[in-house]
Amino acid sequence: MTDIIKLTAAETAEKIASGELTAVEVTEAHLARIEAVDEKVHAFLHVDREGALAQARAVDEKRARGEKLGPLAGVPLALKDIFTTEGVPTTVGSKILEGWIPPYDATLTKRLKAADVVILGKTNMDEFAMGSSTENSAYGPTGNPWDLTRIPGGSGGGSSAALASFQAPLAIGTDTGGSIRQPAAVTGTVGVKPTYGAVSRYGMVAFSSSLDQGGPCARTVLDAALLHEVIAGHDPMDSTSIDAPVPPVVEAARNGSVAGMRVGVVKQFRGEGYQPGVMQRFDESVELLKELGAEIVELDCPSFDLALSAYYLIAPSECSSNLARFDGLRYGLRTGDDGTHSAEEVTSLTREAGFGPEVKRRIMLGTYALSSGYYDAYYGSAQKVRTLIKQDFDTAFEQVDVIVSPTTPTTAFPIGERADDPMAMYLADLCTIPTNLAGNAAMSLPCGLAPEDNLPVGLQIIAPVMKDDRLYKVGAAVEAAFVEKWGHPLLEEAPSL
Amino acid sequence: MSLCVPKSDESVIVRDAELLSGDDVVTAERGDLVVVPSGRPHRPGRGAGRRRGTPRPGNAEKPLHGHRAPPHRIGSKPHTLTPEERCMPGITREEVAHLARLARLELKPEELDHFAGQLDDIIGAVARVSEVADRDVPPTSHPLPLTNVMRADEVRPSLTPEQALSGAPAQEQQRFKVPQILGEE
Repeated sequence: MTDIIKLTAAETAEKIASGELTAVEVTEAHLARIEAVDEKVHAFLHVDREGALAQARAVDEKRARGEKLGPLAGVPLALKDIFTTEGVPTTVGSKILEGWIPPYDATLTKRLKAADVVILGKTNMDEFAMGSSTENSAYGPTGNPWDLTRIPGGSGGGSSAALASFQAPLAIGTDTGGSIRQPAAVTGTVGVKPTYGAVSRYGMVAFSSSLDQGGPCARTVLDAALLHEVIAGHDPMDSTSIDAPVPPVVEAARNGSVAGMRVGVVKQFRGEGYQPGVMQRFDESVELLKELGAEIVELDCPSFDLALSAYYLIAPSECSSNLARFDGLRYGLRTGDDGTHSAEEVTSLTREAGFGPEVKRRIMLGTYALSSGYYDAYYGSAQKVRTLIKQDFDTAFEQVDVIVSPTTPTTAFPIGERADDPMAMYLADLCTIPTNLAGNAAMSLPCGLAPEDNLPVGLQIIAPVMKDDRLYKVGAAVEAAFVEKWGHPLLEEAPSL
Repeated sequence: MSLCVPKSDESVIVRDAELLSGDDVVTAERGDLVVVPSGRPHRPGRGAGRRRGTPRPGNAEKPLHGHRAPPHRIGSKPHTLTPEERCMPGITREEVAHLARLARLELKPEELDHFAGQLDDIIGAVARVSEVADRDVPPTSHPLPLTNVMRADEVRPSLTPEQALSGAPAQEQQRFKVPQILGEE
């Protein structure tokens, strides 16, 4: 049993295809693991035991009939609870959608099912994906498998914790300001935010529509690439979906190399607030890239200093608008409908009861930033910053093929430490936000443990729009070099739960 | 298909009537809060963050009710704060209560106090963006240069009425049943 859960997704799929393992065996092994450890970790909000086993049985039957299986057929996956799943609860980590059973599948859910990926259940997250620690979930926090008293990152902390505790070899996240990459960094896993528009947002509960992007989470670069290829592609149901071929990510992940590549290091991504051990591992990664044949180029991106401020105006503004749909009238929670209150009062009472503090904060912040009199100074300026950030990236990518940085300034912080200090929490996304504002692609992969606390550090790789394959080419080379140096994948060093 | 809920003389929320579709609000357009001036008197502008000497509110002729910006426009000199204004917190409890009302959040009294301090801190920090307010840079609202992506106007399968109503808090005669919307007159 232990062996099955330690396999990579690629290995698992191979063993199922060859008949060495059945999909049902694989699914049962992971369900048993969830049963054994998730009481401690709390990665899942809902485990769909019956649905998962039915999907697994279907894969085994397909194989028995001699049908060709896809590259991830029978591999279990943990799905962030932000994607709708027909007949399976979808809460977005919020009380306002507690008990809601969506009548339809998100496009991403459909694609996973069509690829015979086995969906084990829905993972915990910061409410409406607003947060960097998963503490904002209305259903309680998730523990980091490296140290259960610490945060697993956020908003996709359930997905990253499920991977790091071997409850699933694959997971799905969404990244609005770093919610795939920061959880990956602090749990020693791999997470990719594809180019904006690469993965359909249809059926993904909206937080900030011009920034939100679904993407793959895994324990290896190749596994992330295999999942990327399954979920990406044009969707007519999402008007912002890119109508172009998916970059060759799997091929890139199988042919990792940085020889002859120009790699940028941005001077704005260091300084005050960065943990010394994080910077030490980052600097070693840069040295490693040099040894592997890359040329390092120093870059100056002055607008990045304004990225966090612009983000905390743009994202709340879009959120205040998007979340207007939660009105207690058509679906989800309704509070105060006792015949004495008007529809409007019921809406206000419902939203008060259904939203947690961070969601309320962001709705009000957005309402403020968009109000006349303040719109130009706040939202308008933030949009200009967005242009400047795109221009800085454009200039940078004239000089380099990819950019590298630490994924997050610190390792996992203790649960509760920043819970009531929003600005401290927001700093966790300092290095990940510029990419969301510009729309290009980025990955986080493990680059070691910080010496001072023995917790994972993430290396971020950033590529231009629609050059997602470069992330995998560089990521695979770096991963292989690190695994060789360490003698094993980083997660081998995580405590057994 | 949108649902307009009128709210006194001040504002209406235009709601997106689609269930979580992928084609949702990209910037503040649909689902936005549309604020209609009520012409009531107001205090001099005390936008949060301004005490830190940054943003320049514009569009003064369309004030947010009860929370109007000082009467000057973008491009003019920043509003000089009076000593009295400088001492005041950037965002007050009353202003938070107003924002909560606009955002349809029935906040508890203790929440108002808590949020006032936090919103003040956040707005003070993010107000840095106004450093670029005067720069001649086009705004970016979206990472992709897309406009009006249309699909063919063809009938296609959709949710059945039963499916569409499956999450309704209350329903009657195959319709969403909602509390009273218009006052009895």
